[in-house]
Formats: sequence, structure tokens, C-alpha cells
Amino acid sequence: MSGTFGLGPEGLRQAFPFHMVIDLQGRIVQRGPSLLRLVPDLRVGDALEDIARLVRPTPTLNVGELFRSAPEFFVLELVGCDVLLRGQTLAQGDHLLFLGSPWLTHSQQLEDLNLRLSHFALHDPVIDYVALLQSKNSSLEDANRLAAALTQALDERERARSRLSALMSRLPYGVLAEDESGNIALTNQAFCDMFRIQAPPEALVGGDCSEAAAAAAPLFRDPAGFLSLIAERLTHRIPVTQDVLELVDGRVLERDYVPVFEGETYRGHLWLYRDVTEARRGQEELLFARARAEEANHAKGAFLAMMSHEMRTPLGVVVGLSDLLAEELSPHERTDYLARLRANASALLALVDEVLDFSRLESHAVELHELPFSPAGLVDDVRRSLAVRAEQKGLALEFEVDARIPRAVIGDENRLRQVLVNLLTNAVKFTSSGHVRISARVLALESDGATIRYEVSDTGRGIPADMQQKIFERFVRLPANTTQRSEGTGLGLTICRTLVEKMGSEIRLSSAEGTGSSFWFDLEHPLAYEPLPAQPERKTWTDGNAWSILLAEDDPDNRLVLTQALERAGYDVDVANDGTIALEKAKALDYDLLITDVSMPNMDGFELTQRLRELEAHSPRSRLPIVGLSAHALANHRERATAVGMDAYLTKPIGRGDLLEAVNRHVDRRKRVMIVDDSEDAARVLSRLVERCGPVRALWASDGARAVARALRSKVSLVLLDGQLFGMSGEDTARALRRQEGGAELPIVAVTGEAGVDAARRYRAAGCNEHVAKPVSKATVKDILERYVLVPGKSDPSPSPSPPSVALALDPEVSDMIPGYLLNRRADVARLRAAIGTGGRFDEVRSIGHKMKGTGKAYGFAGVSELGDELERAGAQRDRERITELSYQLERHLDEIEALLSERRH
Amino acid sequence: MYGLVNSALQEFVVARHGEGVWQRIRERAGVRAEPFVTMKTYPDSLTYDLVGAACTELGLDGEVFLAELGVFWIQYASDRGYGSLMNLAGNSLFEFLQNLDAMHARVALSYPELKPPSFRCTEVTPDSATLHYYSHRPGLLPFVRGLLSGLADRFSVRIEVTTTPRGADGADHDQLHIRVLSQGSVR
Repeated sequence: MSGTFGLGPEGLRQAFPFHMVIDLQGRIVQRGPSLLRLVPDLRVGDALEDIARLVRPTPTLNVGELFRSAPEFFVLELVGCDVLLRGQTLAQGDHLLFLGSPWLTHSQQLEDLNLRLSHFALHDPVIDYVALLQSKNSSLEDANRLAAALTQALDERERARSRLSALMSRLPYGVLAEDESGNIALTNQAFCDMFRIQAPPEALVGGDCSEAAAAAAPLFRDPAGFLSLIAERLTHRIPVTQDVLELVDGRVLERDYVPVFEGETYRGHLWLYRDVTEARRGQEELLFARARAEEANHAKGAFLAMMSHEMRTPLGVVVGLSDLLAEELSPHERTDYLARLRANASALLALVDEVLDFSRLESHAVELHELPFSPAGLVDDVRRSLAVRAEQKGLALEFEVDARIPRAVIGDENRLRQVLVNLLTNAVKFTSSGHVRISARVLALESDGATIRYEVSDTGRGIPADMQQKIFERFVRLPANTTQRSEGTGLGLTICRTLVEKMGSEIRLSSAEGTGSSFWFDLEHPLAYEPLPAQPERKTWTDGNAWSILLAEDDPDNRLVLTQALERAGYDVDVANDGTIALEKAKALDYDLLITDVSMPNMDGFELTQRLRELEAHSPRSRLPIVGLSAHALANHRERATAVGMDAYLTKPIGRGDLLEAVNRHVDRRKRVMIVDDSEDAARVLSRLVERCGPVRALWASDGARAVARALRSKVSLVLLDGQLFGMSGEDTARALRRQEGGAELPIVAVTGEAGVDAARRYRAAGCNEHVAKPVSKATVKDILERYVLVPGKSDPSPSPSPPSVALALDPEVSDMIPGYLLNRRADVARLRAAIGTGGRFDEVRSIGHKMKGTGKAYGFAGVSELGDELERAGAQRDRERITELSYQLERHLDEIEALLSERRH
Repeated sequence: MYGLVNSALQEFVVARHGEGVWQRIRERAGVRAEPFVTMKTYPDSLTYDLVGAACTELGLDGEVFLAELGVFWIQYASDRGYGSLMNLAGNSLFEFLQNLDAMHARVALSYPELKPPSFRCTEVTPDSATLHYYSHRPGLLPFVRGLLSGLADRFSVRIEVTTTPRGADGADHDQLHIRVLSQGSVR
């Protein structure tokens, strides 16, 4: 059977369901059943070229050539279904057989062509091929999926890496991560910076860690220790924090070691380095500060213990002596105990003063008061204040002031004095032989300022080097040595240092044990072009001389303290060590005030006052104001003080303010007129006349020599000179006065028994301003005073209406009550002066004035009423000055009343 | 077992129970977290371990789990590109079952290490047939029942399956007796 190749038609259909047979004309003579699924309208007789296009062997072959070339591989493109038929040709006679199957490239084509397994011959590998294609597609899908997962993982890793990188670069720690093989897995810039590595951190990754460690070892103070510590950490693989590593450049690093395990598996480790140089320094400073604080606390404790001791010791003495004083004692014992009491109380007072001063400095309550002052004068003052103590210890007190020191500079004189006194006191205290020295030297002098070095040095025991800084700290005292007890608060130098710092400088110290110490500081003072401030007017004469005070005090320390206080306030102070000396001085010289301690050897203050008052009562001398000082605050002492004629009575401890207030109130500020006359009676009359003419005080000199010696020293405003004097004549006296320094300006009026132009000429020639013949009337005296002393606006320090004249209109009915009335008015004078003291009880002044106003006339004393009226007004106006003035007027008025009454009685 | 089977297992668990449950099952089975490669051969034990772990984790009976996995497998293979090949096997359930062995034989060409089961379909009537299941792998009969259910869904028929397990009546293979309960439209 042609065209079936022995298979028979059914066999051919089963074995090759896509077969096709053509004849020599190229017409289809037979086709397989599955080919019909691809080309459903294929008919027997159709031309091959109508249903298919030859792709292989060669598209241009004609049918004859196909027959000749068979068997041959063929590919036919079936027209209309886009399917390639692939297989081989087989020629048999005039039939050509195409044995093939569809060439599928995708499994989907099976569905597109609606082909099923049954459409293929069982031996056809096309299905296998399609299955393989599907496997390939599955693998491709896998590959795509894995590639996507990989890309995602890579992206994630990159993000993680950049996060880590950002974190690492911002970490303040040097980080080095090693993998399990000891290679660098990760590091950061901080690590590179820490170890001065120039390369970027990424460049280190992969490097060998042990090599890196060996290379870094020389950076460490202990390279071998550094390496062995690494080895130890790696051996034990236990997390360790804060290994401390010191570098040769001074830095200190802290290192943590963190081994990394995954489950049980060691995966490497992490080193974290921190630069703790600053932190440790801070810690050290903190420790140092703590030590200092503890030291300060200790010093404070020691200070409290010392203060307790320092206070208890004198307090014990005070208590003990107070008990003793309550018992029967001999006058000598009593005096001795009182002196000791005073000394101990003074010591206590000084202690308290120092602590208070320190406390004010600590709380910044101290302000500097910068005023013009004389540095040379200040240094001299300081020297003088310590002179006695130095002398008592047998020390030479040297003093040096640079000749170039400006006359006046600006600064806080009092605070500077405090510093220098403190330094010099220490110098004296700690020097047992040799000298102490205070100096002021000009370091620089400019047109507007000067730098002055103030220095206090000594040849004392010196200060150990380890104490030289500490002694300026609070509560620190030099340790006691075998021969000297430490004493004082330990605050003196702290106060000095603080004050000098406030003045813009710093105290420096140079000292060697056994050879002495030197403290100095340099102050920049602006120059003061204006003159030194005038002392307060009420304290001085217009010619600039100070009021003069006699201070009777046996205790040298008290004497010093009081002298300094008074001198600083601008007074001239003369001192007497006991009552007898004071009496002699008071008799010989003209003081404006006497301040007397009550307890003194030889003659106490009460006796001194009594003797002076008696003297005044029987001589032309003016009444000397007396202020008593006492450690006794008992009422009977106060009464006794008043009884003997003291004007004021202050009890110790005496504050500077209280002292000055009392002094200001009582110092005799009246201008002085010296009466030179060898007749005591004549002098007494003239003196009374002079004092009645105004606020003027009469001084008496019994001969020319005394007048010359005293007139200028006593700062008199006028000399009334008798002609016929015992010894030096009036004319000679006038000449001698004129020759004295400052004597040329002194008004001298000759009051003599001679008369006439001749006498006037002679006295003028001798230097007198004018000549008046005796007897002189009150009007003449007043005229003279008004021209030379009481010139309004010229020299009267307290211009005020003249005190009321004494006009007595005594009512006989009350005459027996007059002495009592006058005594009460005397008491009023004291009350008035007390009332204007601290605080000022001006209501009391008004009340006193009001009573006087109302009662004066009733007793016949119109002047008392007038003064009362004035006092009432001054009290209402709270005018301290006026009240003071009026109290003096009242006192003089009472003197005059009593004098008149006395005259009448006689 | 090829990776395709393990992937199907993973997809099935993730689709039904979520990724977290899958991770627990994987960890329980001690299987690394990496994608299964379709054409790679994995040890059978890995698949059995995963199935065991899944049953433990989900508290399911192994037969139930395998049956459900069998249902899922039909859709999964179809979705993974084997749909056309499955269509090639026939237009009806029984035609498909009759070509099933040839299908496995063909596919085996591209899975050289595949040890596919063998199927034979006998006693085919319009409403019933018996599927003979030969496999060297034990315990997968429930999976084959699940496959039948999946195929029934694919061809929109409701069937009832009874089994004669290997060993019963001296048989050396499992037999699944299929009875069509109702016909759906032919796909």
C-alpha cells in the first residue's frame, strides 16, 4: 500500500498523528488526524504550497527537488495557525511523506492549539520537551525570585551598613570590632583619631588586629602591659569594662572588651575606647576640692575649738575676778583686779571685732571708701601704733618711706591701715629678736597715679614652705612652737588678703624658716590733686589745727586703741599714764577735753576730776569737759562720776562710735582767748568778762614765758596781754609771740595799766595790734572780741544768737526754792546732752525745753525761759547742733546766774 | 523530594496560617530559613519533618493535614506554570486520571532524580473509576485523596472516594475508588 510505509493507514495515524503525504505535483494525498486540529480545513488534493511554506531545507526548493533530497530534515510553517511543523521527509515512489510534530516553544501553546496528550504519538518527545521548558521556566522563576530576594537582602544590608556607619561615626568611642579570625571587621573615625591613624576607618577593615596592636603599643606608657592585657582579655573572653590605659602623651583611655557569641560559638569581639582624660582630671579636681573642703572643715572645727578656748580663757578671768571683786579687797587688789578685768575684756572685744569683721568680709558687706589720704602719714601712724609693743619686746621698729611718695593719693585709708597694722602686729608677735620693718616704696609714678609697694618684714621665726599658702586661709594659725603659744582667731591674714584683693591687688609672701618673713602688696592709687579732706569742721579750728584731748589711761593697749580712734577722727591726743601726770598736764596745758579712765594707779579718775574742778573753782581757768571711762557700769559709779563733775561716763567696752559721740558732744569748741596777767584776780575778772561776751573760752597764762610757750600750741585766737609782767615784759612777750612760727597773724591786744598815745605806740611797735588801758568795760571786751574773734562769718564755728542776758527779777516768795531749781536745770544740761546721743530722744529735749520755758520766768529767770523756748523748737526740729549749742548756753547762763546770786549774797 | 513540594508546603501554611506559624514550623523542623529551589532535590526526611512539625504546631492530624495539602497542591502546581501540562492530561476527571501515569512519566524527564509514584486507572465507567496508586513513599495516601478532591474541584465534579489501602486483601498498592456524585460543567 503506497504512502503507508507498511504501517497501514491506521498505524501511520497512530504513530505519526501530524503526518502529511504529497504526490509529485505537490498535492496533499493524505494527512494525520492531529494535523487536522492544526489546519481544520485541510483537504486531500490541496496544494502543499497553499497550506504551508517551506522553511527548511531551502525555501526555494520545488517539489521535485524535495523528492530528490529525501530523506531530509524539514520545517514547514503552517499557514493560518502560526505553527511550525518539524520532522523529516521520506520519499517512496511518487509519494513524499512528511513525518513530524508541532515545534512548541511554550506550554501555553498546547492550550492555544487545544492539543491534548492523546493528540500526540506516545513516542513523541515534544511533550517531554514542553515539560523541560516548564522546568526551565520554573528554574527561571526561582532564579528571579532568588535574585529579587538577594537584591532586597543586599539593599537591606546596605541600609544596615550605612546606619551602622552613621552610628559608628557619631559614637564618641573608638570602636574596633574583630572577627573570630582576629581580623578587623569594623572600626570608626574616633578610633583612628584616638590612635593618630591617618587612613580612613574603612581602609583598616580586614587588617590583622595583633599587628595593629603591636604597631600601637609604643603609644602607651606601658607597651608590654598593653599587649599582655589584650592577650589576657582574649584568653578569658569575659566582658570587661574600664581597663585604664595611659598614653605617653598624657591622655588616659578607658577600654571595654565585649566578646561576641552566637549561641556557644565565638564570633569575635568588640573593643570600645573612651578618652577619659578630662573626666579624670575633673575627678581629680573634685577629689582635690573635697580634700580642700575637708581641710577647711577641719580648720573650721579647729577654729571653733580655738575660739572657744580664746573666749573662755578671758571670760573665765572675767567671771573669776567679778566674784573676787564682790569680796572685801584692799584698794590695791581692787585696782589690780579691775585692770586685769579690763585687759581680758579688751582681748575678748578684739576677738569679737575680728570675727565680725571677717564675717562682714565673707558676706561682701564691706565696701571700700576711697578718699584722699597721705600714704606716708598712714605708714607713720601704723608704725607709731606698734612702737610701744615693739619696744617692749626689744625689737627695732624700722620705717622707710620713699621720698617720691605722693603727698596725697586716693584709697581706703582705714582698710589699708587695718591690713598694715595686722601685718605689723604679726611681725612683732612672731619676732623675738632683731627688727620689724614697715615701708612704702614707689614702684611707678605717672602723671595721674602711683603704684606703691607696702611691705612689712621681720627677722622672726619665718613660715615653713608648706604653710605659706595655707596661712592666708581661714582659721589657719601657725602651729605653736615650744616658746610661743598660738593665739588669735587665725582670721587676720584672711581678712588682710580679702581686703587687699578688694583693693585690686594680692598679698605676696617670701619667707624662710629661721630668717624671717616679708609680706608685701602693690596698690595702684590715683593721685589726689585736691588737698587732703579738711577734718570735719566741728572738730577743728579754722586754721586747721585739731581739738586737743588729754587721755588719762594706764592700760597701754586701751591707750593705743583710744588714741588711734581719736586721732583717726582728727583730734590731737596727748596721753597721761596715771591721774597725777594727767593733773599736771591739765594744769599746764589747755586741752579741749579730758578723757580719763576711772581706775588708775596713784590717782584715779574720780580724784583727778575732783581736783580739776576745785582748781577751776579757785582760778581763772575755764571749765574743762571731762569724760570718764570705766569698766564699772554700776549705778553708784555713775552717780559718783556726776557728783565729782564728770560730764559723761562711758562703760567699757567702749565702741568707737559711742566714744566719738561723747567726745564730739563734750569737747569744748569755743574759741580761745589767752589772758596773760600775773595777777590772778585781775585775770579772773577779765576771764569772766571775756566768757560772758560770747562762746569764747578764756585761758590764763601767769607770765610771758608761759604765754609764749602755750599761746600758739593752744591755738588761741587772741591774746590779751598785760604790760607789767613778772619776768618777761609785755612788750617782750609780744615780740616773742610774733617771732614764733604762725605768730605773725596772731591778734595781740595789750591791756595795761598805762594809758596814752605813747603807750599805744610802744605796744604797737612791740607787735601788738592795739592797746587798751585798764580798767576795761564789758563793752570794750566785747568790741575787741567782735573784731578779732567773733567776726561773724569769719571764724565763729557755730554762729548763733547770743545767749540771753542775765536779768534777774527774783520773787522773794520763791527765793528759797531757787538753789533747788538751778540744780535741776544743771541736771537738765546733762539730760540734754544725753538725749542727743545715739538715737536722739528729741521728745525729751522738747519736754525739757517746754518746762524751762514755763518755769523760768516764775523763778525770775527770763533767760531760762528764752532758752527753754529755743530748746523746745530745736527739739521739734531735731537739730542736734543747735541743741548742743543751747546746752552750752544754758550752762553758761546758769554759771552767770549763780555768779550774780553769789555777788548779791555778798 | 523536589523543592517544588516543599515550596507548596510553605505556601500552604503561610496562606492558611501566616508567616509566623511557618517560621515556628520551620524552626521546629530544624530547617534553615532559605527559599526552596524548585528543581533542587531535598531529602524526603526534610519534607516529612516539616509535615510532622506542622501537625504538632497546628494541632492537626497528619492525614487531615496531608489531605488539605493535596487539595492545595493541584491549584499550586497549576499556578506555578504546570497548568498547561495539567490541561494536556485531559478535559475530564477520569480522562485526567487515565493520563496521570503518562503525565508523571513525561514530567520525570525533566526531573531526573524524581521518583514519581505510578498510577493506573481501571474500571472506568462514566460515573466511577478505580485509581491504583503505587509509591515507595509511605503514608501519602491521604495526600492522594486530597489530590483527587483538588482535581474534582478543578473539573467541577462532586466525588466520593473510598480506599483500599495497601495490604488489605493482599494488595501490593493502595486503591482509591471514585464515584461521581454530580457532574459540573466540563472545563
